Amino acid sequence: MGKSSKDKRDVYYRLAKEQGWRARSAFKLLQVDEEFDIFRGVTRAVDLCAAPGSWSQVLSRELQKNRQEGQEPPQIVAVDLQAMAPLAGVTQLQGDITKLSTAEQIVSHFHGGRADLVVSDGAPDVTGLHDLDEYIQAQLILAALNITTHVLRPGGAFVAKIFRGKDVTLLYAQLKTFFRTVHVAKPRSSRNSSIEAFVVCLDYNPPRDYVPNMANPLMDVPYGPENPIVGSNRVIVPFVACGDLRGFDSDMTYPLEISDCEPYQARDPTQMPISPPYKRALEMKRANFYNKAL
Amino acid sequence: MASLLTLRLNHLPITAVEFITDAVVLVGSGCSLIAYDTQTRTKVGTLAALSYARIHGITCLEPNQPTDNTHHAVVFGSKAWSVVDIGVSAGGELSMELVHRYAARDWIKSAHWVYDQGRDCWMVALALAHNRVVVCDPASGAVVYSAQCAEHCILYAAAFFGATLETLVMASGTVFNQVLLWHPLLESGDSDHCTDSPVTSRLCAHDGVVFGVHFSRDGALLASVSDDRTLRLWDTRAAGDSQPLATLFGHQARVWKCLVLREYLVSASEDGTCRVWQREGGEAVNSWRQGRKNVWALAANRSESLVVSGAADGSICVWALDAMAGRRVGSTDSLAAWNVPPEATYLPEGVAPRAAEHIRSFAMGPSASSDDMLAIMDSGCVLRRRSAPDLDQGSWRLEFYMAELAGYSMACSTLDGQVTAVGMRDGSVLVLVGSEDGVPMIRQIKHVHAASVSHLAFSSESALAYDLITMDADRRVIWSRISLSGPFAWTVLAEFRLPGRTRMATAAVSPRAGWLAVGSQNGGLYVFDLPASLRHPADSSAEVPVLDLAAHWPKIHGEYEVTSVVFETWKPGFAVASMDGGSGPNKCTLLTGARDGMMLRFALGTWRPLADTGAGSTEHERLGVLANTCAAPDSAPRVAYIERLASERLTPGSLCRLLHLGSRLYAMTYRRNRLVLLDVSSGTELFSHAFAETDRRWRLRYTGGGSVLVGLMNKLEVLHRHAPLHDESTCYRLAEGISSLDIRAADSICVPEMGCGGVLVAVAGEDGVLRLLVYGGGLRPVAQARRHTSVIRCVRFLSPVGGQEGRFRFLVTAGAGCELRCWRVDTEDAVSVLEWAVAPCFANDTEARIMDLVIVDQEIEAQTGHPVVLIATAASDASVRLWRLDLARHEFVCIAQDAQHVHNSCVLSLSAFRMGCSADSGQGQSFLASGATDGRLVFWDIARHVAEYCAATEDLRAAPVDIGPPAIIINDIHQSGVNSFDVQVVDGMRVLVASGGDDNALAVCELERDANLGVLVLRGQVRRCESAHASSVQQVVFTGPNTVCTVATDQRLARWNIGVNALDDDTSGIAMVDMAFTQVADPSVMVMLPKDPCTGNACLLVVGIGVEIFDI
Repeated sequence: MGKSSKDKRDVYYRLAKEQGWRARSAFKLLQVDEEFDIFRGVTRAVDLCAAPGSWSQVLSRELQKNRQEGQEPPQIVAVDLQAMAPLAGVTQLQGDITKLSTAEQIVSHFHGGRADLVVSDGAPDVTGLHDLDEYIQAQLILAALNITTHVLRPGGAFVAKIFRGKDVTLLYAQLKTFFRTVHVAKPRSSRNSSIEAFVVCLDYNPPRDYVPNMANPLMDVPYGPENPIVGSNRVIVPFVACGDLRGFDSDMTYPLEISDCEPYQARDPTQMPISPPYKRALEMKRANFYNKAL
Repeated sequence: MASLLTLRLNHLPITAVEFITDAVVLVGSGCSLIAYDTQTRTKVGTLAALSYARIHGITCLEPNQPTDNTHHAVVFGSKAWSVVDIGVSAGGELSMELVHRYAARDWIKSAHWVYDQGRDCWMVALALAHNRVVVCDPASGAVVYSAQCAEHCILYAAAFFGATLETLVMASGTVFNQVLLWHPLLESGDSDHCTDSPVTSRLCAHDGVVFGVHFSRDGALLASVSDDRTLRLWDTRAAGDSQPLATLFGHQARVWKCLVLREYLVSASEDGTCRVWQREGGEAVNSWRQGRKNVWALAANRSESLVVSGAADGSICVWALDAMAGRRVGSTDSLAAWNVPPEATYLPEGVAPRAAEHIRSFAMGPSASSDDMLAIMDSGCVLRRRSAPDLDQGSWRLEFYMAELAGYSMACSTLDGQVTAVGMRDGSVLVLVGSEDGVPMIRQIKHVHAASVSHLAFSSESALAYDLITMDADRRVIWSRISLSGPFAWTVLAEFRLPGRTRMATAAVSPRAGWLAVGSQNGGLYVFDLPASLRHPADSSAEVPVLDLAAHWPKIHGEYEVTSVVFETWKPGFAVASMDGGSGPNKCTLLTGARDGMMLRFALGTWRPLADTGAGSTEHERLGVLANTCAAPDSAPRVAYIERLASERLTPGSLCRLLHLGSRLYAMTYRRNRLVLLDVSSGTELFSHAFAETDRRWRLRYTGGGSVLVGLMNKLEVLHRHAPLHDESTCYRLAEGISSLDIRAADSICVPEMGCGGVLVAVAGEDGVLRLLVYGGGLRPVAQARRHTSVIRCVRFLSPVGGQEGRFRFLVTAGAGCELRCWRVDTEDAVSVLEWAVAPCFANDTEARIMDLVIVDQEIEAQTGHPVVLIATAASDASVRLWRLDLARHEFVCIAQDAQHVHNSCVLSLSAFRMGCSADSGQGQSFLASGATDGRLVFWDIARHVAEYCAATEDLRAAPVDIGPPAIIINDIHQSGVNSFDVQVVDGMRVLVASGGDDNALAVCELERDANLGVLVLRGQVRRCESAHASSVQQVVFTGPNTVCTVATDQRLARWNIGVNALDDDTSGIAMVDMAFTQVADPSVMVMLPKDPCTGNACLLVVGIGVEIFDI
């Protein structure tokens, strides 16, 4: 496989490099916005689990575009455990989304104001045990939801990546208690074969007696009569495919020369990957350790 | 509602293992708890321990009275746990009883039996994923105490130590790369507001998420494994935040589980292996490969001598740790080394010393004593080292000196060490035979060859008669026999002519089967047919016959040297008498091994023409059958063939030799500077040592008693060591695996000769391996083959060629990299599979993936009587193509394609059907339908192609024609990809189409054929059940009239009534009849199995990560 092989298999990977996005996931948020218009009127936005920063890039560009004459410039806060390369117009916060202090820092950046939109594209490294991976992803979303309840204004929107796995209806049931409308969106830039999708939660409306609390994690609800394990009355939210049908298909194999793209040239990714946890193991591999040790 | 979908059987990843006693192992497979008897290696019990959650762990409480035979086990997984009583009677009878099932409020990472002294009863401590402990009453499930760690974070791993509540310690492996040790400050009840328990030790050194932690039995040590590929060992009693006692690298992917035992550390990893280290010093002891990927579960028995491991492919291995140790030789120090003495001490008088005296060649033998050695020195001196307890290093002594051996000698010994033959420069062969009195008998056979003897190979079918095949520098090959039954006798039996510049590298002869086979230095296999006079050679003084090649297969191992040819003489029915009464060659099987690491299996026999093919022989070479193209022997029409039956890569490195002892096959392999002796059937490494394998500087001698002696030669020393052979009682599999990676395709076919309910199932997927399983009572893997270089996405059986009774079945596979292949399955005896044809790459580049294929039609070509098949493929480059597969020619030809790319997106699914089979049109009109990521269904009229494909006209080989314009396009049948659809033809003129999409929906539409115009029209509206599933619908199958079943990534299997009568109604008329949960994660395909002729049951096979079969 040559350098161009991933470019052929994954047109959005290639487009992201051509258009200067830090990751192909930028298109997913753009396509969700095409369908749901989530950026309209947004002046304060939070990007949780932001690294490498492609969603912050999208927020920064699109909110600037939407800005009305004479309006304050949009405020964008990007939160992640790890540092990321700086982005113009984006305030970075290195912190843990399960900590109250992080929520307080976000609110203080907005000078006491609340966010109009919270997005999260976070996902764990999957293990291959689908039930465990889905659980960890659900905890990530619930942690994101928990901090969101501290920073989002009523009526605001929340967009997060989910895995449409076996227990996704539990998550839907939980989200529906906080938002008036919940959709599951599948942007065309997300592969058909991928288990990933996005919950688009509009019109934040927490239960009357709800008090935001970071001390205890939000838990996913169990199955029950309202949401049984099997059967036709499970909690399922409407599915919406988003993105232009005439646009690019993320599952299709394209030739390198595409008519409505600029002439092909191989490019390096905009943002190089961060150092992996197995960096030391890689170094040892390069030093021929595994050949000698085995 | 009455359940219409019930689970029949499954084969899933093993995610939990535990020993009850040394004789009973419990495993968790999905939500089922399965008990195995390790003595009989059979399943002795199955229990649905959890209602739907996957089992992630099993913890047993030992009976406190020796007379009490009931073991209480806690079985847990995700947010569920249960108490199971396991009774092991004195007679070995096992019973499993589900006592209670409970739910926890969070994911359970670990469970532990702990004694509550206050209440005087055993409790169950559960570690929850939010770093919390709850202590539950096993009788009621109620949370009696709880505690929360001060560090609020998510855990990937947890372990407990301590028998009582007061001494309980928890080790938490966090997502933030740390291991935390803490004493839970237990408070009554399950309060959200309990006081945080402080962390007592914070073990920080890992660079990644901690996936596994394990306490030693005394709690003094803790092992942890991580995303950073390491195992780290910690002193739990060290004050403060300490550094690890040891950091062990070795795994090449993430490490999931670990054990710290009395003597060893054991780990299980994503890389498909388990590794064993010495606990003291951390030296790597051994590793074993269980599967391609992911060993999920690991446990030791109580005495810490046995380990059981469970993997993603469903395999379960049991290993005796002491047997594992000692097989991997770390340093040369652990080998016995015998240095030859200085030259001056043995060189006979008058012989000039060599410039650089060294061992030219060595042999292990020739006396009955097991560690006798012969070293043939460059000087021509033959030194012998006799083993005797009182002898030391200096015991090499000169056996004899022979000037002709100076500077040239090629030694070769029989495996039993009895006979050593040395090839000499002058063409003679020196034979040394062991004797009772310890003094070897030495014979020099002169003028065997006219040029120097360069290669020697022994083979033997009976004791006291050894066949020796030798080749000289002029490439003459001679077969001689050394007979020891009477006085020593040497008989030259035949000479063989090899073609062209071929040089023998190895050879074997089987007089019983009537074949001699030569493996060449450039990867070829050459076989000679032995005339009747040579099959039972009398002591004849007749002229030595010169035989010509019967059949050959050049480059069967590419350009790699064939290092072994082995006739499978130990197999029952190895040689089958030929049809013509014994004069022709018998059918037999043989194995070859080569430097490419491959082991190939062949059948030799007389040619049974499948057809007069006319295709070039090069095509056949690749595909498996090679007929003799050489001049036929005098008596003419007999033609020999070589047929490849199977191929297997034994090592990514080089295969140096295959040998069989008893009925087991072993292989000496060389990889990464390491010589490894493998037990082929189990994959166990029996001996391994870092050693440069050049010029075959190693020897093996079978000494009996379950071990071989491995000898290694250096310039002036011989190293050796006994290696224990495979012992079934120390390392074995309780269950075979199917596939470590996701299965993406499946199909099935009835094979009546395999007995009642005999169904052959083909599965394939991400690992590119095609696997055949027999379904009948259970699912048993019988054969596999790997030719695809990437994922296989579709598998389809052809209708049986020549009826149900035929021995062969054919199937077609396709997948990534544009690969489209046809395979022949031989169902006789052991099922075997052979690649039959490969399609040429069709796309401009090979990145395109074939997403689906269907068999459109199958006919017998009238002129030649050969089966020809019409196949349609859909691919990620938006193409729909039609292929003509000619089975006799081993040939795929693309005859038509969708030149317009109507879909202009990745085509995901295909179906073919025929309608209008009524009186007027006879055959009916054939249609092809395709669904794509654009959410559309396109129907193609392919009547013209179906009418024309069978005739073998040359036009077909020209460029593919356009498939023709679509008959009808149904837009927006789904919002995104049409993952799957099925078509049911109703009374010949109408079709019902049911489709499942990525948008969670099930859609149904009805099409009608306008008899006058021959076109398809949509009848009424598309009906839809928008939220049929909570996730992407992966497969839709008609299981009866108006009945479809669907399966989706939400792991639900649903049965629907699609009520055709509801057409004019406002409602969709689609009603769910039943829904079942499937344990198969990421289900990708569902197929109907042929009806069981015994029970009449219809079954659905669901495949994904694992396999499940449901009765419907």
